[in-house]
Amino acid sequence: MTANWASNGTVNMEELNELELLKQVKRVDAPSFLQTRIEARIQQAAEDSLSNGWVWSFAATVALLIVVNSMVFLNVTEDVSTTDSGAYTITQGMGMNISNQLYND
Amino acid sequence: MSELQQQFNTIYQQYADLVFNVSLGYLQNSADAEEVTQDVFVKLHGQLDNFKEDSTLKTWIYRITVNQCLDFIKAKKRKKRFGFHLFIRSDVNEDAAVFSSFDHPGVQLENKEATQRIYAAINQLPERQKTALLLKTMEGLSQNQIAEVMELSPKAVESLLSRSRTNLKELLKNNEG
Repeated sequence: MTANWASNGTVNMEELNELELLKQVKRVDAPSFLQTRIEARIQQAAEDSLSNGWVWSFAATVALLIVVNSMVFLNVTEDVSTTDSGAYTITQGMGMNISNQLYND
Repeated sequence: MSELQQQFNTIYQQYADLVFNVSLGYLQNSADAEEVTQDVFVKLHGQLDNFKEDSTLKTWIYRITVNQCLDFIKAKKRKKRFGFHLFIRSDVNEDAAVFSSFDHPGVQLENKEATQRIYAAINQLPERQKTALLLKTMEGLSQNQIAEVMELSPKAVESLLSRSRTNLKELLKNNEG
């Protein structure tokens, strides 16, 4: 690398010395407590993903219940309201009586 | 203990020092390096199944570590940007303000000041130039190895290294003046 730099022509000796200083930086051992912390974090992440699963399935069940209930409710109200139906509009347009009282009693 | 767990423990024993030292070189603070080392191994544990054999494990670990360091710096930048710190000290270079106080246990006391000055200049380099330079000087990787880690061509790495040296020289000169 030193030869490369010299042939490059853009780097002077001063900078070379500066970077030589970086090479003198000693390698350090990772602290021994890191492994325990990492294991704890992995375990915590596994537990979190498990509880997340429960949260999502609960939310999906509630959403499904709401959808089913609203569909049932809409069907019931549709059956009840006869005035909104197409048949009612046609009979009204043709001036027909839709009453069950046939003899005007 | 499961097979995956055993494999993970072996990887940890083999590469913990490497990850810690690369993080230290990047962040120059042992507490930050510890945090990043934890993040790297937690991420590695989650992605061990996805490891593709087309790159070596060591290259893959280097890549994850570098990316994690960059993410750590970006997250810190975001925090500072919205924080009060830069508002008060608007004269301070944002990149320089992101780094925690210099605390590199591998630096000898007599060289501390000079080394700190070089790191301060390196921290001002664009991130790809910084990565290439640190992998070359601190880790002693070849241009081809750096190219593999950074997913670039060896030619691109050569150009990055050349530009990083020129810029570093300029930055050192400016910081002195």
